Amino acid sequence: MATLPKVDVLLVGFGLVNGVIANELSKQTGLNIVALERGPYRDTFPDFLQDHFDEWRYAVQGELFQDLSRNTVTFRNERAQTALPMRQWGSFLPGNGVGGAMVHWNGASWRFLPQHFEYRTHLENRYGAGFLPEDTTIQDWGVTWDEMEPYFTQYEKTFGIGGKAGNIRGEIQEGGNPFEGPRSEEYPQPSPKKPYGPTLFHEAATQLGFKSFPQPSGNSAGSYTNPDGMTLAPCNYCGFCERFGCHVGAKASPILTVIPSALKSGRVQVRQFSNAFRVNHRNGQAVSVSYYDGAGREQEQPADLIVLGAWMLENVRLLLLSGIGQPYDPVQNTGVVGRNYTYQTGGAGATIWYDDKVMNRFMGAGAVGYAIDEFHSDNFDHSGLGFFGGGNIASNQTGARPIQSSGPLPEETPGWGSGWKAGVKQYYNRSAGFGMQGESPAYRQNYVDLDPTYRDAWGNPLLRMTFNWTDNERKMVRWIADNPITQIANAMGGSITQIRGDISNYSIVPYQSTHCQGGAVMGSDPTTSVVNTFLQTWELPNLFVVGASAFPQNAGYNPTGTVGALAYRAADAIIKQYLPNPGPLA
Amino acid sequence: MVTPDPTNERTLPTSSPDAEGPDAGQGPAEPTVRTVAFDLVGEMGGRRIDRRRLLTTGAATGLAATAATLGAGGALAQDATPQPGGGTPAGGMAGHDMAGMEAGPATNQGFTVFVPFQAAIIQAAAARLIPTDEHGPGATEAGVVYFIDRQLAKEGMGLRGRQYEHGPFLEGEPNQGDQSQMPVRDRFRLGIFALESFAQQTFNKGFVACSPEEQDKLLSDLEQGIPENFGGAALQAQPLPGSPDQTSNIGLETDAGASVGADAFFTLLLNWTMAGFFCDPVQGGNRDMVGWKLIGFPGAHISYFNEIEKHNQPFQGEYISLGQYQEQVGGGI
Repeated sequence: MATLPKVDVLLVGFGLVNGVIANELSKQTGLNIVALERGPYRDTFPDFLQDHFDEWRYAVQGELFQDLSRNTVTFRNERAQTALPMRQWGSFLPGNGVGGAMVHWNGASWRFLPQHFEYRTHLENRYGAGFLPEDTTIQDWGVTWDEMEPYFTQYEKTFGIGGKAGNIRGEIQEGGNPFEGPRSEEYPQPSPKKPYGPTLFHEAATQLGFKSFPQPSGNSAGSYTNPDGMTLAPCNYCGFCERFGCHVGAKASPILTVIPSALKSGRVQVRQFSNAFRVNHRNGQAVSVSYYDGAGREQEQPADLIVLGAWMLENVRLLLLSGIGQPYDPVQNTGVVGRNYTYQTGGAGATIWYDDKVMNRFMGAGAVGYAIDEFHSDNFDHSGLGFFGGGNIASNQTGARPIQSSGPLPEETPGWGSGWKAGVKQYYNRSAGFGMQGESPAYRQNYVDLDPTYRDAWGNPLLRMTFNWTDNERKMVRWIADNPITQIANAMGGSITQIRGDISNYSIVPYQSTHCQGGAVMGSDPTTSVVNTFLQTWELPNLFVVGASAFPQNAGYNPTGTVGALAYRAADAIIKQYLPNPGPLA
Repeated sequence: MVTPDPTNERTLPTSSPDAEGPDAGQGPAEPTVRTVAFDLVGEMGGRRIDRRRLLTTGAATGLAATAATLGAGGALAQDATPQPGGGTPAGGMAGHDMAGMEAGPATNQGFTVFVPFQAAIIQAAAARLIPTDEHGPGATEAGVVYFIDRQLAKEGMGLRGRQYEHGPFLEGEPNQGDQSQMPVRDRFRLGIFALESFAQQTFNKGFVACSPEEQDKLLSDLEQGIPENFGGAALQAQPLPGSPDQTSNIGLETDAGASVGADAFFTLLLNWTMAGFFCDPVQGGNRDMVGWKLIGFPGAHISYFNEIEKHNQPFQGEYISLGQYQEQVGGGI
């Protein structure tokens, strides 16, 4: 094992979070920065421009995803079961390589709603203390919308997010989301073009009186130059977005924005193929990170300041492997690391098939469509409904690549043979769909810890996930399906309509969404959080842990926009507060 | 009728694909079973064909059937419809026209994982899952069997990319995902032999020789988890697939568990058949983009910027594969 010369700042993982932090540090300080990234560096040219239209390679075989042969998670629904390894990709798809999962994301970019940051307080104020289920551990974030707003704005400008504001400094804007928090200014870009299917959803929802608005999008509507001078090209709507890198540099990503900007400084070094496995610490300070280099050799990299910005599951695992913070114990309800693991509640949606319409479903991008927010969070009265929470309902046309998306086909279509051929020929290009992305509240029994049995390629324990839906989410999904989703589906016309509204037990097998949160949550109380409201660990002042790992619970939105805002908040705190006076910020 | 791909004629094996079988005295200890090494020698198209097969003794009637099945497997380009008298062939390999056996130009056709006997069964099954019919070409024209063969040859190929392969391998709940240690390549190997065994047990002939209706019945059963001992029977069927007597225990057993259960193998076969029908041709299937043409997926288009807002207007552009696209953007290599 080699101990390398000390550096000023060491970043673990080089995706959205540490791309933002490296860029801000490189612009505002003279510090030398090293980033450890487990995967390779890939760029628009030559990688994605010349190769990305290969569905089997990228979407099915997972070219851009974490290498499962080396590291995965184990999973069970509840503590009484034995957790088993996720041997094949399914439920979620963490990235692997410079830029992280944001290289292969769809581009749906949201700001959480103001009440989300003070969710327990909000719900108990409105419905009383006994309203929430006894086992829910949802909590306030310790920050307010007003504190987060500047960071959302900075993130959206840097990544060229497009959309239509619904609320600018308290004034409701026609065409936007009236439920969103007050923005300081309009989106930096307009919303991208809209395919036919989502337009049918928009027309039906509008006709029913809902405020349908454009999906906030990281698919660049036009040529865009961000405040760092980095550029995005206009989206080509090629239909190869999620699971693929962008072939024309139009999808908001760290590899087009913050990372090349940071590298321009000459003070940022990226070590590819480096797998961090432990943060070494003594006397209340983090001192170094141990990692396996590209050849598998153990290396130790000392640093003054360390930021964990890996994908959230790996952030939590690194803390547990390093013995930092008290591991969560669901029986005693003590400890913090691994607590409040949450996901994204799907399962409510509709598909409509038309005999008289052609959708061109192969065109599209990850976030080109419309959404409504009437049934999200506490935007509707939950009195007497028997559940809390809700979700955003949206229709996007992401590109129907034929191996994975020759369907959906009407229920009566055979699965194979001539009957299937007739069905897929008729209906592949004639369906429109929409669905809810539901909130995922935190519960005492849902958590992550280290697996006692299974190990990674280097012999370190895998992370173990214990997670299931509760009756609260099952009722929520059923109610959303029976009410707004059925109404909108019926208003969309069509020859055949199918509504989905059942969830039973969470399964790790089918892909649902790459929206995993929690385990190292932020807050103002060290007994219920791992990091303070500046994303600094309570235990080691020179260790920050930033990402979706900090969400106390998940909203009914994709998490990326809020991860971006948290990264800017952490960067700001490091530069303005920590570096001038290293020590606890809270 | 499928148009034969002339290059496939050259995939007929001209030497034994099998390792030399054990001598009679080294067979399994089971006293009621005796095995012998059997040399099948024949003249085919002017070439000498040697096959050393492991046969159970007393399976005299199985010899011709075996030879016929192997022959049918070798001539992959034949339609999957049964040959006249296919169920009880009398003439063995002589029943097949081997006139086209002269060596042609070198080709990248052929199989790298399957042997033609296995490939013929996959091809016949895929042709029922995605048949050639009034809606157009099917799995055969798409080259699905070549796609599967090429993918199985890749290092680390799992069900969906690289997968976690450390033990212990425990049976879990379905929502914990596939837990079997069985590599996908061996799932195909066992599943093919088990399907062949199932065909023999059900219709007294090999899968390739079954009629389309019979093949559909077998595949429908698989889909519903029938037969129950599908994976366990697989190895028993392997040494003598053509023999009516092949269910006799020759001492090879496996317990592949649910991973090569009838429904699991059906799902694997269906998923990979669909992938071979709809993948980019660069991966070895979807030849001439026949899968895309069925549904109207245009392929690797660099941009729909000017089309995406033309709502409800059928796209009129051409079909383009990744290879063609790479020629355009990269100018080739």
